[in-house]
Amino acid sequence: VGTEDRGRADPGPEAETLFHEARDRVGAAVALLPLKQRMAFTLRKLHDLDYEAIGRMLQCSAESARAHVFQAFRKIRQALDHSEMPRAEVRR
Amino acid sequence: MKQVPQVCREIQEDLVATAVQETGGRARARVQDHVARCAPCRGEFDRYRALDETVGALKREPTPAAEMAARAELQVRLADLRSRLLTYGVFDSPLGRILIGRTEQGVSLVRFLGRGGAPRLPGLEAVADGKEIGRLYRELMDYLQGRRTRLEWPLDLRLARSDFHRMVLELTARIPYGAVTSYANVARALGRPAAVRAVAQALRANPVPIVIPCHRVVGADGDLTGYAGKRIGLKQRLLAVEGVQTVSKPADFRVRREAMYIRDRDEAEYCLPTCGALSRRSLAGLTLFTSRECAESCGLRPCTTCRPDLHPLPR
Repeated sequence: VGTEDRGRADPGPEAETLFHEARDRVGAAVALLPLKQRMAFTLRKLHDLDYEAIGRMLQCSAESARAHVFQAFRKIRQALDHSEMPRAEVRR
Repeated sequence: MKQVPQVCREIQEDLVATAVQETGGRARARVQDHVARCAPCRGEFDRYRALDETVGALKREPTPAAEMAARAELQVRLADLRSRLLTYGVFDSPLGRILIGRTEQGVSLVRFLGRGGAPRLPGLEAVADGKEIGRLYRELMDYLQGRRTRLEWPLDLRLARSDFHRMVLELTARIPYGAVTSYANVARALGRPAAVRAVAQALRANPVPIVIPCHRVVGADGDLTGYAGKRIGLKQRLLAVEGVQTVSKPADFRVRREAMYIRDRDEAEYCLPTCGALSRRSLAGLTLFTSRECAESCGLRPCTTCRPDLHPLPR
């Protein structure tokens, strides 16, 4: 994922703090996920494993592994609903 | 509740997948086209995208939560590796060289060596460790020499070839020491009376012979019919250890059913071999027992007609 060119070269201390807060909130939400979702999510997003490999480790199909990752995303998103994500980070 | 337009509901999954960079191509183009026109979905997309970027930051600088997740991942990986490891030993036995293998979950392989190549172990890594397997070997020797009638080992049946095979093996494991039944009777008990050949195939592929006593299953005519390839003598010797008498035939043996007590199908009683028409019946629905104790250990009562309790068979 290309991140160096996101326009954060000089984010300023306030944006930096906001970003760290968001990161910690996501980390906390990940830690609260049910085991399979947490595993699928971390293996996919933090370790870049493909769904086949994740399925083998979780003893489920690749499709189920993918479904776990998406469920995880939805749950984390819900957990963050009450707190604002830093919009400044978004670039499409 | 606010009504979400159909088009937004339909695109939801692709929207999330695109925002978190889990899809490409047409879905992505469709999503980008949609969010350009739909403000609520654009908001949703932005939130997921921001979330994904924050996750990217987690990846680069792990927080305690991410480290916890990573540790959990490592544990699953290790458990997975351990369960794929097969420890084995090769030993001499009265039946020839024998290999015993176990995984973390239980004994998964017993193999008569001598003929044929090395066993195929799909998905398992084999490590020789005679010391670890030594205890199993000593128990097996006790069994083969009649000093022990059960091998109460945890089993790992992952080497069975299908769920049907596993079902056949689990049913066969319940045939007690000193009893004999037929492939047809196992098929009947499984509720698949026509699957006699499939039962025979499953027992032929038994990954843990002796422990799962496929030697106690014979043809409907009482012929031993097959064991470990063509080593019918092994089957005869294993049955002899349990007190099952056989008569020798050209290239086979036959169970001496006239020397055994009989249970008809799922009856709650056991009979003398001469009771009623039993002696003329094939073994297709019958189970044989070497002794009254053996039959009664299965919860059976003596038949009230032929009274095996009053007229026991000569030992």
